[in-house]
Amino acid sequence: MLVLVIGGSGSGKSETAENIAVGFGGKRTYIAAMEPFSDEAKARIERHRAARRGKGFETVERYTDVKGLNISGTAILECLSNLLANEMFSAGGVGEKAVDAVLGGIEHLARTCDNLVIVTNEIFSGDTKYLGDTKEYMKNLGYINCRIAERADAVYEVTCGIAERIK
Amino acid sequence: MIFIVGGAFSGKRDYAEKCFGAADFASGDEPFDRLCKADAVYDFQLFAEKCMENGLDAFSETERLIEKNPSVIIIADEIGCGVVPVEKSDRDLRELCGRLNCMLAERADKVVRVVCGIGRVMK
Repeated sequence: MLVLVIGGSGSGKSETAENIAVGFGGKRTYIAAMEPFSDEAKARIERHRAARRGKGFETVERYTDVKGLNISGTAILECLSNLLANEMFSAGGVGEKAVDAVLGGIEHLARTCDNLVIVTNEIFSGDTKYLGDTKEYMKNLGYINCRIAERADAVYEVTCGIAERIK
Repeated sequence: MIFIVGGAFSGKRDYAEKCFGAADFASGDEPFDRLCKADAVYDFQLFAEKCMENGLDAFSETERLIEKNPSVIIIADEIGCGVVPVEKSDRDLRELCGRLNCMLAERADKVVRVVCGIGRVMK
C-alpha cells in the first residue's frame, strides 16, 4: 500500500501520516529527511520525535539516497520537500538528477516495504513569481507529487488537522 | 466554460488534457484573438496581469473571452495563499486574481480543483 499525504505548514500532516502508519501494524520505521543543520531544525525534529514517542517507530535519518535503504514492514518518509531540497542543493545530493533520485528512491521503498506513507508539502498556492532555483525546486516537487499521487493507492489532503481522502 | 484552479505545478494542464480532451493550450498572456481559438487558456493570472498593465477591466475582458469562446477551459494558478506581498501592485494583482477566480467559478458550468494531479469537481 502506497499512501501520499499533502498539507501546508503546521496542518497536521505528520500526525495524519503517523496514524495511518500505526493503523497498518507490524514493524514501523520513520525515515527522517530533515537535516539538523540549525537550532530551528533541531527543535522541529525534537517536536516530531516527541509526538511519535510511544507509537512504536524506529527512526532512521536519511537526507539523500533513499534508494540505499533496506527497510521492510511499514515506513513513513517525511518529507519530500526536505528530501528534494537535499538532493538538489546539499553537498551530498545529486543536483540536477534530483527528480530521478527521489522518484527512484520512492519506487525502491514502495517495493521493499509492505506499506509506505509519504509526507509532502503544499507550497504551491502563494506567489507564482518565483525565479531561478526556487522555481525549479517548486516545479520538481510539483512533478514528483503528481507522479507519486498517480502511483499511490490513497492520497490525503490535510487542512487544519482534518484529513480528506482525495484518492 | 470549465474552470480549473489549483497550486502551481499541480498537474492542471495534464488534467484538462486527460479529462476534457484539451489539445490546443494558450497562455493567458498571448494575444486575445489567440485565446478565442484555444481549447484551454492556462496561467490565467497572466491574463489578469496583462489587463491590469494595459488599464483594461479584467472582468469585462474575461466576459468578452467567454462570449467569443464559450467552451473554453480556463486554468488559473491559486496565488492567494501566501504572505501578503510587499509591493502594492503585487497585492492588487493578487486581490484581482482572487476576485476573478470567484467570478470564473460562478460563470463556469464546472469547477475543478486540482491537487497532486487529482481533480475534485467542486461545482
